[in-house]
Amino acid sequence: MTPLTTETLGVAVRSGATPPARRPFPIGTTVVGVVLLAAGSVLLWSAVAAATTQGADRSLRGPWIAPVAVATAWIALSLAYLVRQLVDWRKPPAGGAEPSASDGDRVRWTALGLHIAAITGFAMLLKPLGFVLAGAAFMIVSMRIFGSAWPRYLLRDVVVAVLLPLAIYLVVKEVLGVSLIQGVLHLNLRQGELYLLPPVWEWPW
Amino acid sequence: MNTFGDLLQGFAAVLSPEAFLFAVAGVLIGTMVGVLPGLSPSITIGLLLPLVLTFDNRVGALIMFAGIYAGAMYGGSTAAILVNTPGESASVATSLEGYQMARRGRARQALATAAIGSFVAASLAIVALTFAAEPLARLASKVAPAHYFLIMLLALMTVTALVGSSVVRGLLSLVFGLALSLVGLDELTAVMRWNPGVRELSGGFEMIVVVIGLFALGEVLHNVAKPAGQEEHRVLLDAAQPDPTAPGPRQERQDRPGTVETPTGAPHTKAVVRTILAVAAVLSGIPGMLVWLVPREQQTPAVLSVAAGALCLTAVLLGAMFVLGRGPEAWSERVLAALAPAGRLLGLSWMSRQDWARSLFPWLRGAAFGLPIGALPAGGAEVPTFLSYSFEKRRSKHRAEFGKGAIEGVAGPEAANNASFVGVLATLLTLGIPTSATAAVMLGALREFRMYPGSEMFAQGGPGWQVIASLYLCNVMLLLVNLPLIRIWVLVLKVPRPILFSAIMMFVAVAVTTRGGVIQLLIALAIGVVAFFMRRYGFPLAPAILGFILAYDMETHFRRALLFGNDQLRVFVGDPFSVALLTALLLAPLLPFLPGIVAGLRGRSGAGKLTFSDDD
Repeated sequence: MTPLTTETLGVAVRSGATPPARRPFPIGTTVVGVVLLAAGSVLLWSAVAAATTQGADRSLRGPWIAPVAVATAWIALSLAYLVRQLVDWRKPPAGGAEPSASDGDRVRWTALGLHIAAITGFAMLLKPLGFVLAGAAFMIVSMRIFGSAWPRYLLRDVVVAVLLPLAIYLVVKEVLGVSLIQGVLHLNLRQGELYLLPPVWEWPW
Repeated sequence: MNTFGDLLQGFAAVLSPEAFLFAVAGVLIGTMVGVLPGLSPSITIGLLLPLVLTFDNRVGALIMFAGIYAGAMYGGSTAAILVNTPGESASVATSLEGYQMARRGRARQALATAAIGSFVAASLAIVALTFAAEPLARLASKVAPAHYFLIMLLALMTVTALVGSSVVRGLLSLVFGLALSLVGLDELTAVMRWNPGVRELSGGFEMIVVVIGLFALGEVLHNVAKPAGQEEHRVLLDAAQPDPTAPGPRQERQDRPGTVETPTGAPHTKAVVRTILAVAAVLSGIPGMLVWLVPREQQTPAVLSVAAGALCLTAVLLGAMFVLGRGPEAWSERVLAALAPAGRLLGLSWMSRQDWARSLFPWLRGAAFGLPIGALPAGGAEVPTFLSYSFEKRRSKHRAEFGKGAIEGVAGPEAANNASFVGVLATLLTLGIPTSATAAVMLGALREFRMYPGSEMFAQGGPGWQVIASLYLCNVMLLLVNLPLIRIWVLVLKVPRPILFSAIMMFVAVAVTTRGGVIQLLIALAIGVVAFFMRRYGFPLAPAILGFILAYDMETHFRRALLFGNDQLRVFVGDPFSVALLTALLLAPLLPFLPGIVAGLRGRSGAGKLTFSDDD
C-alpha cells in the first residue's frame, strides 16, 4: 500500500482511497479579518455621520476627505484580507500559496495576559505609590512572568528591581531635571531628605 | 553657498565639549542597542525623545540620535558574529560568514574587518552626503505640493509593498497608521475628527506614545509570549578556543620574512602600517586644506582652529610615515612599538596582510551598494547587504570558503550596512522622506524640535551641517569604542531576558509618563497589544509608523495642491512628472513579485517574493 505523503496525496485524493488532508480552518486570521472589517465600518460610519452633521467644509480640501478615504481603504483591504485567508484555506497545502498567519505558533497566552495585567496594575499604582516603589513591584512580577527561575534568582531579581527604578529616578530627576511621579516616597538627594508620605489614590483618567 | 565653509562651521560647533558628549553617549547607547537582539534604534530614539526634549541643545540631541543610529548599525555585527544572533536585520548577511569565522577561531578578524569596513564605507558615504546634501535640499524646495504628495505616497507604497510577507497586510498596517494620525482635532479647520471619547486624545495621539506602543511595548509583549529557554548562546570571542564542531580546516597564518609579530600574533609589515598612516593623514588633512577654499567672512576663529588642529594631526602622521619608510631602524622600531597598542586596541593588528588585501575591495564595493540603495524607499540596509554578499560570493577567488567563514562575506555586507544608513539620513534630511522605521521616528523627533528637513536645514550655518559633521565624529568614535570595548558588549549580550525586558518597561514608563501622565501609559499599552497581534498575524509595523508620521505632511501637501489647482484633482495628473509618479505608484505593489517577473522573462521559474524585515 502506498504510504500517505504529500507526494502521494494527489493520487490518493483522485482514487478516493484516503480522505484529503485539509488545512485547519484559520480561526485566528478570520477573527482578525472580521474585527478589521467591523472597525473599518465603524470608522467610515462615524466619518460620514460627522461630515454630514457638523456642517464643516465638505470640499476636497475639507477635514473629512481624509477620514472617509482612509476608512474606505480600510474596509476594502479588510475584505481583501478576509477573502485571501479563505481562498488560501481552500487551496491544497502545497499550492505555493502566500504564507498564512502564524496560527500554529506557540504563544504563552497566560504569561501574556499576566504581563498586560501587570502593566495595567503598574499604571494604576504609579500615582499612589510613585515611580520607585511601583516600578520595583512591577519589575519583580515582570521578571517572574518572563520566566526568571525562583528561588535561584530571587535575590538577584529583588536587588535589580529595587536598584534600577531608584537609579533611573535619581538620574532623570537630579541629572536631567525631569520630574517623575513621586508618590509616597519623598526623596531629595540635594537636601538629604527621605521619608514616606500618605498614599493618595487617584484613577489615571 | 560654500560647502567647505559650512562643513567646517559644523565641525566647529560639533567639537564643543557638550556636542562631543552627546556624540559619545549616542554611539555607546547605539552600539549597546545594536548588540542586543530585540532592541532597535527606533525603540531607543522613541524612549529617549521625551527626555532630550527637555534639553536646550536640540542639535546636540539630534547628534545623539545620529550616533544611536550609526552605533546600532555597527553593534549589530557583534552579536551576528559572536552568537549568530543578528542584533539588527541589517546584520543577517554578516552572520552567514561572520559566525563561521568565529567557529573557526577567527572571531577577532571577523570583528575587525566588520568594524574597519564599517568605518571606511561610512566615511566614503558621509563624504558623498556632504557634497550632495545642499543641492538635494535646494531641489526639494522647488518640488510642487502635488509632486510632494505623490512622492510621499510613492515612498509609503514602496515600503509597504516590500516589508512583510503580504502586500495586503502591509497596506492594512499603513491604513492603521494613517487612521491613528486622523484622531483628534484637525489643525487647519479646528474640526474634531475621530475621537473615541478620551479627553486626552482630543489633540490626537502623541507621536512618542505611538512609537513606544508599536515598537517597545509590542516587542516586550512579543517576548513575554515567546516560549522561554531560547536565549542561551555560546559567545565565540577568543581565538584560542575554536569551536571543535566547526566545518573546514582552520586557516593557517602566512608568516612572511620581514613581518612584525604583534602581541596578538597577527603579522604586520611596515607597508601596512604606513598605508594606514597615509590614509589617516589624507583624511585628517582634508579639513586643513579646505580652509583655503572657505570665503574670508566664514573663516571664524572656531573654523580656523579646527583646520589648524587637523593640519597638526596630519603633520604628526606624515612624520611617523617618514620615520617608518626612511628613518633609522631603531626609530622605526620605536614608532611601531608606540603604534602597537593603538593597533591592538582598534583591532587594526587583528587582521593579517592577507585579511587586509581580501577585505579592501569588498569594503569599497559595499559602500557603492549601500549608499544609493539606502537612500531609496524601503532600500534600507537589508537589500544592499545581501546584494553585497551575493556579489562577493560570485566574484571571489575563495568561493569555496563561502559558508565556512570567508572574510569577504563579512567585509562587504558590513560596509554596505553602514553606508546605507548614511543614505537613509540623506533622504531624510534633504527631502524629508523617511525610508525606514528609524528614519520615520527621527523625522518625528525633528518635528518635535521644530526643525524641518530641506533647504532651511542646509542653509548657511544650518543644523544639517552640524549633523553631517557629527556623522564624521561619530564614525571615528565608533572605531574607537567598538573593538576596544568588545568585552563590555559581550557582557551586554549576556544580560538575562527577564531583566532586559523588565528594564525596558521602566524606560517606557519614564518616556510615556513624562509626555502626559499615566493615561498615556495605558494608551501605549493598548497600542502595544495591537502591535503584538500585528506581529503575530504577520502585519509589518514599519508602514504603520511611516503612515502615522507622514500623514500630516501628506494631507497638508494634498490640500495645498488643491488650493493651487482650484480644487481640481487634475492637479495631480497635470504634467509628465506627476504621470510618471502615478505610474510608479500603480506599479509599486508589484515590486515584491519583481524577481518572479524577471525570472519569467528569462524563461526560468521558482523565483521567490522580494520581502524585507521591517525592524531597522
